[in-house]
Amino acid sequence: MGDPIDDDRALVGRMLDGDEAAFTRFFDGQFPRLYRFALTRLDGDEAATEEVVQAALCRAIAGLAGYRGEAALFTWLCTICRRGIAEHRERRGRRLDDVPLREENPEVRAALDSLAALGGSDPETAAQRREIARQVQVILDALPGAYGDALEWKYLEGRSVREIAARLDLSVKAAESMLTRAREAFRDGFAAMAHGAPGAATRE
Amino acid sequence: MPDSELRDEEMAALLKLAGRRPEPPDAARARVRAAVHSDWRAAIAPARRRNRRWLAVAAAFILLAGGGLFLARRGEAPQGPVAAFIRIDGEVRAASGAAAPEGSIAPGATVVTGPGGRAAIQLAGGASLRLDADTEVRFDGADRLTLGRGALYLDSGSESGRAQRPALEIGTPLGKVTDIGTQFEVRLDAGALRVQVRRGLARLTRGDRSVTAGSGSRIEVATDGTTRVVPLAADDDADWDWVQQIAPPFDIEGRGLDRYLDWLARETGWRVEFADPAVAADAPGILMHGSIAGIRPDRTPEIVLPACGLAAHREGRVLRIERPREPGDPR
Repeated sequence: MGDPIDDDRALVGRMLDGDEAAFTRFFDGQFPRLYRFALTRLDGDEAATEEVVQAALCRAIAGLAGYRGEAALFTWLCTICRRGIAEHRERRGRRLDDVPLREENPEVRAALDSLAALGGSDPETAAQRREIARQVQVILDALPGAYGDALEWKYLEGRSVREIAARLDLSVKAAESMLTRAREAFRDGFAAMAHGAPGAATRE
Repeated sequence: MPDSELRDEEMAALLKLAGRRPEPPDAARARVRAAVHSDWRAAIAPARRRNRRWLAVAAAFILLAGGGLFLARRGEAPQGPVAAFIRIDGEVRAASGAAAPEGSIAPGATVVTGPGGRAAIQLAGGASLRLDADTEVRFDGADRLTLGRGALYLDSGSESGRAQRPALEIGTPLGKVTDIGTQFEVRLDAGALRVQVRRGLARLTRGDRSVTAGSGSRIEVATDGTTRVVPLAADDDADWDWVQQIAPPFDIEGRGLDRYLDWLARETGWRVEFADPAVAADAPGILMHGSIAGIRPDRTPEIVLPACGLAAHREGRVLRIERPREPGDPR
């Protein structure tokens, strides 16, 4: 696994060649993340989310040959999906501006500082915990390639590097390197989110 | 380090706090996949041509089978099916996704059999799949299935270009089963997994470990993950009984006896022997007529062989074919 955008470009190339395995990798890798991306912005409306995500993916397929790899595949899909979300909301009399963009929440850093105190059970703390959890999931979804999956396997499932390598069909050395990049990307994403910085992977 | 950067332990704590990201509903996933896959196939001309070839093969196979139990598909499906029903007994339905109404199965579709339902299905690559009662299988692709519950039987074939197809993978909650040119059953029962190999080899992969089982053996994975390989009872056909009950039909009309015997051996697991080498030599030239549709494979010899002027007797898993004795024949 090399540069994630190179991987995305190669994946699209294989899809254009009619490679079924590439389509499966594309769909399995992008659909869940895009679904969560849309679900948050459509107020948890699952039917609308399914409709919008399907339309976005079909639009992407129609324009697949135009994907040049200027941005990560997921970023490109989010751009298409965001347009669909705006259209959907306009049909229902709501503008995109109404969508709360909570990824830019500057409270995250402060909440992180007090992470150790988040064991409390009062409603405010619980709400804060849920919001941080949601934002962490947003960051994971925004990471390139399989970085998000690899971090979950490592830190949630306690998988060894060898197991992660097997799952990703990589050598152990390549998996170690990939995990290092995944950690760096997560840190970058978190820092950008904490500061609401321009260009953050998770921003609108 | 800037104050917004995370230490490793903070990152681990955050990920644990967040928990696993929620997965989209399976039904939505299947529907969207079918639609997107259809668009993709339409956009990719070479892949679409490959799909047409498969459709032609599937249609030819189904039309040859004929009969009320069989569903023929017509025309070209826009969904790019990955499989087609060959035979359906009892309640069989698509729980999600876009299993087409004329017998084809779209990628992402889930097929569910009811308590008395069974199905025989041909996969796009040519392999034969059977589903037992109370089974749920998702067709992730032409070479990838996910067993949610119940049991399936796969015959990846040896005479129809097996080597040209990618290995079939069957995902289960307890591991991934890979076909290595074989006939085997995968069964989920009360949280445990059983991979029972009738012929050939099958491999089970769990995490970074794998175990391979050969003919006449079974991989068992208990609910606690304990895995072992055990031999099957030598003469016990009970485990394969359901497989015979939903066997795809074999059209004997105009075919040589040798072809029928090959099919019989594959379906029953028996070894066919000839008492007289001359009968073996004559078998390709003995052409059959009629139909054995709807009859279990293990009960067809008593119909087919007398019509060919032959007799047979079975000892265990060996079927011995001979010319019937005539009055006055020397003993």
